[in-house]
Amino acid sequence: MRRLFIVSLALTAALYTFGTSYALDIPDYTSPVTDLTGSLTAPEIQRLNASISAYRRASSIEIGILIIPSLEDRSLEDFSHDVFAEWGLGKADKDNGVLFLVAFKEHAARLEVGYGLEGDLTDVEAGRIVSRNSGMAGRFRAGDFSGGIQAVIEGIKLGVDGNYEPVPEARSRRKSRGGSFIYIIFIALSIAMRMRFRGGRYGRRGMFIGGMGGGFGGGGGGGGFSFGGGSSGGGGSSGGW
Amino acid sequence: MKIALAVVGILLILILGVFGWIWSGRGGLIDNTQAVDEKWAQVQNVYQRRFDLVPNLVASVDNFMERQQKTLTEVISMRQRVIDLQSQASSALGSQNPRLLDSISGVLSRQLNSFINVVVERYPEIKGEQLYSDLLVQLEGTENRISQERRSFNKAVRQYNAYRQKGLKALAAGSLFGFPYEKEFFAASTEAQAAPNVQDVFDR
Repeated sequence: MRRLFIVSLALTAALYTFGTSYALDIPDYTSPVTDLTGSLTAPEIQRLNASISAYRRASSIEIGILIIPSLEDRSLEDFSHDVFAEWGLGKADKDNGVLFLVAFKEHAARLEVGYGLEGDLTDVEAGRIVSRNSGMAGRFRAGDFSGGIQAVIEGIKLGVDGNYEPVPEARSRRKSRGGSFIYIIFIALSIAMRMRFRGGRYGRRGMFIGGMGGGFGGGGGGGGFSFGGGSSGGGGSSGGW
Repeated sequence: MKIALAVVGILLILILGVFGWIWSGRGGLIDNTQAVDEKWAQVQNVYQRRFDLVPNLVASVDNFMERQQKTLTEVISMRQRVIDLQSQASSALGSQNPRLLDSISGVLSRQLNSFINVVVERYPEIKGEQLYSDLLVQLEGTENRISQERRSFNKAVRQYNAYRQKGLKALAAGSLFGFPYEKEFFAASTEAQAAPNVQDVFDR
């Protein structure tokens, strides 16, 4: 009798866990950057976190970044709105948050803009920052995710301050080629690193472990990090690479 | 006598307690109703935004395209005139002076090119492509706002309905103070049930 009870209890527990793992859950955050795919190294996450935190101190605008392996058939717009609501980006009385969501498998990206920033960071500007011919898309295609995200952060700053004008890809590439040799070495190195870690990173389980490691690494600096409780209403724009 | 008084007192306290309990249910219902109303007002807000924005957007794009069309016809007619001049020159000079003809053609071509450059400089945004993609982004954003606000509205309705129907407190308070048992979710119009035929839209 007791064994039956324990078995049924275990079964119920299993059912519950299965039931919840079906839906695409909204992940918890421990720092501005949450990477569930392991596309970013711990130092890269730290650098991005520092850049976002500095901007937050200067302007009170809260940027959140989430990279997920796949949308699992959910709509990009609906999911990013839900994440924004759950995380509460931006100050509650200003709603001045911005969420940058990247769905790896779908090659989709979205900039979700809080109510309070809709006037400063218009849909058109958001669209230019994440469109398929943006600086972000070019870097993502080259495998430079950290650089792409940094470009998005700079784009947000420019958009909020005044006008974001897209830099044509060809021009920026020419500049960098003329610039320095170190840049090329850096890219080669990062590609080599990526290749080395590929085995562990792109498997489903491996991805999750990678993500956890990244999260802890990033959160180390800002203990008890939290967003301010702002909300959004579908402002922003979708793009991809 | 004393016992009766005590009983009455206890009853009074009980009634007051129950009434307070139900009253707090009324407060919860008011909060939930307010949330639903606010979300609906937000849906109305984005409807108004679309109503104000879209005609302006389309008008400005239209205006730009018209101007671009004018520029284009100007350039084409200019080019035709240069070709006419060249053929006139060649028929007048014939094969007598090919070098002079050559230099005349050269001068004319340069003139044409500089004219086109001036036109393009005066209208640096000669490319309508960006404008169209911006327009698309704005239309998308407009519709997405409406869709997200409707979703929030539905969520508020779901919360109201669950609160109103689930607990004994809200059930009692709801029927006592006349709160509707169920609020309706957003329902799409009957025409919206069918997927639009893209070909039809283009033919229109």
